[in-house]
Amino acid sequence: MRDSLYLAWQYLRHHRMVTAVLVASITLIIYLPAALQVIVNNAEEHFRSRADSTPLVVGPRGSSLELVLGSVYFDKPYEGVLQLEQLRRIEEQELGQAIPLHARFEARDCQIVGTTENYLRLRNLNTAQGRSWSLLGECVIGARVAEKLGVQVGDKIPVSTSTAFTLDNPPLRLHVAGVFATTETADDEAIFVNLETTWIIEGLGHGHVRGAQHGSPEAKLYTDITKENVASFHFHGDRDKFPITAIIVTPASDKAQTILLGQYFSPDETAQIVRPREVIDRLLERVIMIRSYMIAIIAVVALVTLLTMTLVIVLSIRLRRAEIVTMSKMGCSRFTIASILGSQIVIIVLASSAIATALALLTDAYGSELVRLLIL
Amino acid sequence: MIELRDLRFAYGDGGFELRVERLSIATGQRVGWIGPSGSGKTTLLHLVAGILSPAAGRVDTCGKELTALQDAARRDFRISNVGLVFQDFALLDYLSVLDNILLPYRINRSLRLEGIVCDRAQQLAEDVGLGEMLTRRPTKLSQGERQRVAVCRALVMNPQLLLADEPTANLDPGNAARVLDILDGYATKQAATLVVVTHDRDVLRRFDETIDVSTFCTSAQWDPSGGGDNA
Repeated sequence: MRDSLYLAWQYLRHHRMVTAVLVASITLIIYLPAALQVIVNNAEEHFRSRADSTPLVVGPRGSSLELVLGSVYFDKPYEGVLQLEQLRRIEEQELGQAIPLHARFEARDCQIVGTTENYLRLRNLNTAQGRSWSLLGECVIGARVAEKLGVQVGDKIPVSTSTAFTLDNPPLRLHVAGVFATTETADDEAIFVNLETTWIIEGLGHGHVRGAQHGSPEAKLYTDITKENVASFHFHGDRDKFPITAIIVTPASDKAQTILLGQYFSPDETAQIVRPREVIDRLLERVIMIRSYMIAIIAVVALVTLLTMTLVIVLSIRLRRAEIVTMSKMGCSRFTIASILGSQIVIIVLASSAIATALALLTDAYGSELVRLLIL
Repeated sequence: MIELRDLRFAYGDGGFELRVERLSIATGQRVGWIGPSGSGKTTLLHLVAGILSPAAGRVDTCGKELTALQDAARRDFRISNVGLVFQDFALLDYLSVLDNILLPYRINRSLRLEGIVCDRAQQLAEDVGLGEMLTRRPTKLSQGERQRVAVCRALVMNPQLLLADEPTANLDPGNAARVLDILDGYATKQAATLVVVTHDRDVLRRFDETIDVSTFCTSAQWDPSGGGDNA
């Protein structure tokens, strides 16, 4: 057997291009379904664990999936808007804890999330460096944001603002007060500020020299919020009408949950309430269905590839007929010839399996990273 | 050494038949087999080596009655006792010169590849002027060098019988002479029997005896003028 393996190995080494193509083909046939399974499993786990820790989400009417992706996974800036009075309405009923989210803006491609300290407690977000925000204009950034933007505590992140009072829309500079410890969730990718800061970004509030008329040259807006000028910051308009994008609600009891769910059934209601787990389950059902289709397609491709490989092997045996005849004349048995040819197939399959296994293990090890890159 | 009696062989289509009443070649004898194409030289060589089995009759080679042996036993006998040299060299392109020489030891379990065998293979290669080419592939060698590798492969297991099927047909006169010298030298040194199939009448002077194989061919379809295929 050792000699058969030796001869098979020498043959494969000599025909390295053909060998490489065969190994690559089989590796892909083995690896692709495994990788798909690993990625889908990771995505399922990632999506479900986050959804499970978010009991209810209230948001504007429209796509429940977009609401959940925008407010639970900070998929992209969420365009829907609720008014702050929706938060008051839930709070006044004392049916549970309501946490507002305002996630409509980005800074250097990172989502800005306006919220309250309760959100940090809900998600168990702890600072690895610095502290939580205490002033208007301060932010605490997720671990990946710090890595991606190369910023740390004490640095500033500029963010475009919109305001009705000047044309130049001066950028506001967010002061980095802290960096959260890694959580391997969407929180790692976001910049957290208090709600008021997001309203300043939105142009509903600003700071300038006291007493100056809006729009006058003296009323130049502050772009840095400091201890010295923070008192000059003020908001215009009715606070109850101020925008938020969603409210995470942790109901006090099952009964409270049932009451809350019932309140948003009315067709006149401008808001909707969703259970993220149900929304994500529906999404994953589709993902799993797509995975099944993909595995079916891969199976067909695998079959075609295997048939092609069989053809390649049969043709190579025909091409080697003279060699086989020579060995046979010299005194080589059919069994030995078959074992040489079989060894070649075994070496190719083993090499492919080893590479595919290594790739699958790597995919598994970096599964959540891949999910983040490919899906989120 | 070689004893054929009442031998009869025909291919399946019945177009070719070989009959040998009696043929003896003594140990250490050097014999040249001649005959036109299709007269049965290669077929007879294969019968003597045990590659083919006759329909009737008896073949004794190196003291073994090949016709009484099973396939596996004939293979084991052949690889241990018979050195075969082919017209087209029949080297494996994916093996180095050394691995080609050692091939008999890798394709049959009755031979054991040990260090002493590797030393012998290297010595043989050096003796025929291939000492510096052991790691080269056959495709990087000249025709003459390839045939010398093929000869080394036939000699490496110290066979008692050498059967060479037109070993010089594809070689220039210089290389042909060198290959024949190697075969001749081995046969003399080891007192081995040498049978060489050839078309070249100049080569025949080297042999103790010349046998015209066409006298054994009884096929009606055989064309004595040499128009048939190589059988």
